[in-house]
Amino acid sequence: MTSNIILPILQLIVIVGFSPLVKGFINKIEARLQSRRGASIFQPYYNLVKLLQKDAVVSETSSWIFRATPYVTFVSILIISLIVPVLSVKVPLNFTGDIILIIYLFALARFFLVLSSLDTGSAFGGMGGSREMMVSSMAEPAMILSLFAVALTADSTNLSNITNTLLNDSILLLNPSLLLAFAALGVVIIAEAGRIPVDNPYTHLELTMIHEGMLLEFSGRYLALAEWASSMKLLVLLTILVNIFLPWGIADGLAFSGLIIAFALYVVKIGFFAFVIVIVEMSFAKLRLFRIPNLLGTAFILSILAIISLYVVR
Amino acid sequence: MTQQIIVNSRAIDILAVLMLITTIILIGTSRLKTCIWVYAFRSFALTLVSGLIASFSGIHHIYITTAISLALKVIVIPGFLFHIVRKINIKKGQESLINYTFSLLLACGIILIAFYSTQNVIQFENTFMRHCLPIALSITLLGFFVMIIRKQAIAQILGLITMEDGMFFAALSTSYGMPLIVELGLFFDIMVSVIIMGIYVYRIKESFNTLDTDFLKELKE
Repeated sequence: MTSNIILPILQLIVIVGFSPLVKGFINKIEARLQSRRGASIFQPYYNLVKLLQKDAVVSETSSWIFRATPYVTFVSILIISLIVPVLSVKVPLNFTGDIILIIYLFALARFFLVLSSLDTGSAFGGMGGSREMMVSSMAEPAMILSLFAVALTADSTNLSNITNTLLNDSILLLNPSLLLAFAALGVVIIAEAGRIPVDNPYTHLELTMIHEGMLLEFSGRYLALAEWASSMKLLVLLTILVNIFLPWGIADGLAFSGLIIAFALYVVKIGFFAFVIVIVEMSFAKLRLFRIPNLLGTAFILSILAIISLYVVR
Repeated sequence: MTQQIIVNSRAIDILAVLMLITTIILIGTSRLKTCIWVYAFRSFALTLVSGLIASFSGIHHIYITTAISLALKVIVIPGFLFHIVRKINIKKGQESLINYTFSLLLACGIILIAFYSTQNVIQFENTFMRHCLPIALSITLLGFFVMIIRKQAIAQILGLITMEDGMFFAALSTSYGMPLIVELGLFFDIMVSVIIMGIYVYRIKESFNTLDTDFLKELKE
């Protein structure tokens, strides 16, 4: 009975509570590497508190979709964070959902964000929305196929089972098709989270922005929720990547000592991938919009190859 | 013991897949310097594979080919190609006959053909190299494909040595390499051909002021 209460709380604390910290960490490291001092690592928290205290300004021409969107995006990412195994192999909503639901929930959040960006009728919002749809129409197939390659390897679409299988069978983890799926998913995560080769999260220059363009009309608590949701999305995607492909150290029950070790390793692994993101952002310029299909096409082909090689080995 | 064999063959499989990924990157990028780095990386992976196979099988002459391939393919040939790129001072990205997304899709089709056509053969293969033959065949075909679709001379050289890599890998994975004398001849062959082609590239640049090999079809100035 207690496990039914402890586990959701623990996962929510990790994903919801620490996601702004990951963002702050990425910003801080990037600033240090560019030999700037950079904002504090807790700056995203200060931003959220400040935005939550402010009044929201809503355009008169907008409909209910605009007001509902921040809640829809936030809640759908929140549900995903309860399906993904974080510290323990057990997940709170184990019976309810699997990989397919996760993909659809991401799509739902994105769909509402795009609708709301069109809703106010601002030109930049519409531009951001159409670009987001263009990128996601290519990122999504690659994401689906690479997750399916993993699911076929582990013979289950349930993330909890997948992590469990891969944790106990280390030879299965040394599988070429998992390597291909890992490469594809890595590219897709950068595109989905709106990081630099695809989208620049720091700019508000109207010609380049994708994700920021859609958030342009939001203010106050709506903006706070939308930004919090986007940082949660990054952490959830990284968690999926980490716990599928590098599951070592994740607790298989709810024992206290196991959870402590799992948390320490989780922090190390997430920190490592955040560092990789920083390195990628430092060493690449943002791609021209019409070059993005090349990058995502590569990811798509890698994920197709992952599935093909899986069938050839058998 | 069987556990050990499975882990060994998986290690080789993963290196083979890394080689395939780098070959796909070679098709998907337009920058020459990136292409040469990618080639050097793939050669390094190939060297690792041949070192691993040498240590697993205990055949000594594979160590010699490993050492030569490390020196030649990872250091000498990429260094020479970088030297040419610096000397003729290419700034522009290279051109391709078909666009990149479509060529990636075609590459995917080629890999499918390679996997499909070797499927009957690898059923009788030992577990040691189940993945390697289809991947070696697809690297060879992809090298050929690069030679067809790229217009620039240096990219065509890269395609040729990619083909050679694929064949070397196929020989290594199916029959633990060719006899040493044949391997030595092949290495010498590839080195001389790359150097000669490098000189040709230099001459093409001198006479046409471009690296586009389409100009070679013209008979008159």
